[in-house]
Amino acid sequence: MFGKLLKKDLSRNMRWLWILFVATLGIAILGRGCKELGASILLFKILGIFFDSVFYALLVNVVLQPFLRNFLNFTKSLYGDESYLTHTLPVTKNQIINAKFVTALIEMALGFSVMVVSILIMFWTPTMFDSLALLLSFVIVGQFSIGGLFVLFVTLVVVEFVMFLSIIFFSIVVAYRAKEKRVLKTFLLTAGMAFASIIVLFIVILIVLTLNGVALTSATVTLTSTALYSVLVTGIVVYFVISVLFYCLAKKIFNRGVNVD
Amino acid sequence: MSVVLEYQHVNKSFGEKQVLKDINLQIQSNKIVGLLGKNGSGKSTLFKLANELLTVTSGKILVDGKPLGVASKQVISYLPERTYFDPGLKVSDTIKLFATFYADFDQAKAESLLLDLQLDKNMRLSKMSKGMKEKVQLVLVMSRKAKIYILDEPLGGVDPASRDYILNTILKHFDKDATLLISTHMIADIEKILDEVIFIENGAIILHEAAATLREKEKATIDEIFRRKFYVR
Repeated sequence: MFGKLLKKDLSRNMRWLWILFVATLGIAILGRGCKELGASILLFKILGIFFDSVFYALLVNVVLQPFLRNFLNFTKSLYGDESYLTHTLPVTKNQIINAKFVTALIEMALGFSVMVVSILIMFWTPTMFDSLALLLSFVIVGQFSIGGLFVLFVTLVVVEFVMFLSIIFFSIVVAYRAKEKRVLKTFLLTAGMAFASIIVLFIVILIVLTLNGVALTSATVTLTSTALYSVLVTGIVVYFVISVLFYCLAKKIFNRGVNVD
Repeated sequence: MSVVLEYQHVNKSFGEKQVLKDINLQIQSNKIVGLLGKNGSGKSTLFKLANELLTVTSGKILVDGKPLGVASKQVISYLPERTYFDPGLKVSDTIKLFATFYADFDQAKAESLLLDLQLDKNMRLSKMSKGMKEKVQLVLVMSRKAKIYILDEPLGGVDPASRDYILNTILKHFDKDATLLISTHMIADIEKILDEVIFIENGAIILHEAAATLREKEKATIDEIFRRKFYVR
């Protein structure tokens, strides 16, 4: 039954998201083509500028839409009119909430993959990573792999989104147990929990930096590559732990039952 | 005959407001039961509790002798008072969805009922009127071979011309061994089919009796008895 639920949730969101994903990749290819031809033909240069601006708009959406759609569908499907179908299907509450989380994870992972691939299509050059490494060498001391840093940074951003989604899901589940002021309660809980999570991350990172010998009291901070790797890995671990924590809490509260309008 | 749905000392409150008060109710199998009451009396709340759309404040609900859960959802076919499908779906998608999740769903029966009601299965729900969407839901709910059918205001948005057909559809297509629990304001339309009547007022059950006995005792139709009891001055 979990597979059936997952298929239902995925097909519902992907009905629109795949258009956005394909459009982003398509515009990246067109934009890149115009860039290549724009050096010799003015028309392609103008088209290139147009595709550039469309590309940036799509890039923002390719990351935000899976996030927003999942959070809106979570509310609609569990507490709106559609909840009359969701809660009467012969499935457990665990299966319902797990399907929502897995759907969100798959769609966000797809969104980020499309973002990375389309950026590479649009901007990749054989010297792209060398130029980035050169730029970073001004602020980072020691040996580092630009590919490794890139993967860690993208993972950090993805896990950060997952954490915010877990916090929002948790806040919705808590706020919608009440009969009144549900949206306000969701907003306040989300803001409070997100703020607390970022403070926790900040404190943990300060500890990690201190352990790596970074003099935080000094006016000029030299960041070693080891310290940077530690900060990124710590960020990923902290965000992951917080995500799991809020996911488990949301599940526990959801299992106590709902009160739909 | 056995008890298929049982409410044991069920209370439901929203904050300070108590909407159901110590409900004790036993619904037998093979009966058509009408749940009648004014707006806000607690009819929908009673149904929603049995479908886990609301959580009891205290008390217990048993379906077929078991607590609420997957097993109860497998035997209850519930028609709520609102439309619940994603409007982006086609009617055929909703049929597929029911066929996917409910082992007791009869797809051929659903398609034949849709034809009778002149509903195009390739039409999107977003293009349908409220009444049409309600008919689609009723068709899906009645195409299950469930033990208990719970219909909350099934005639609410349906035009008078289709009402008789819908009632006949309900009667013709629900399994004779099953139980039908129905709430409506259109008592005159359904009273001829009722075996039992439950009157609910301010969250409490004030009467639960066989329809024939009640008619005999009061020398009146159920509709008249209801009007007398709930007359607003």
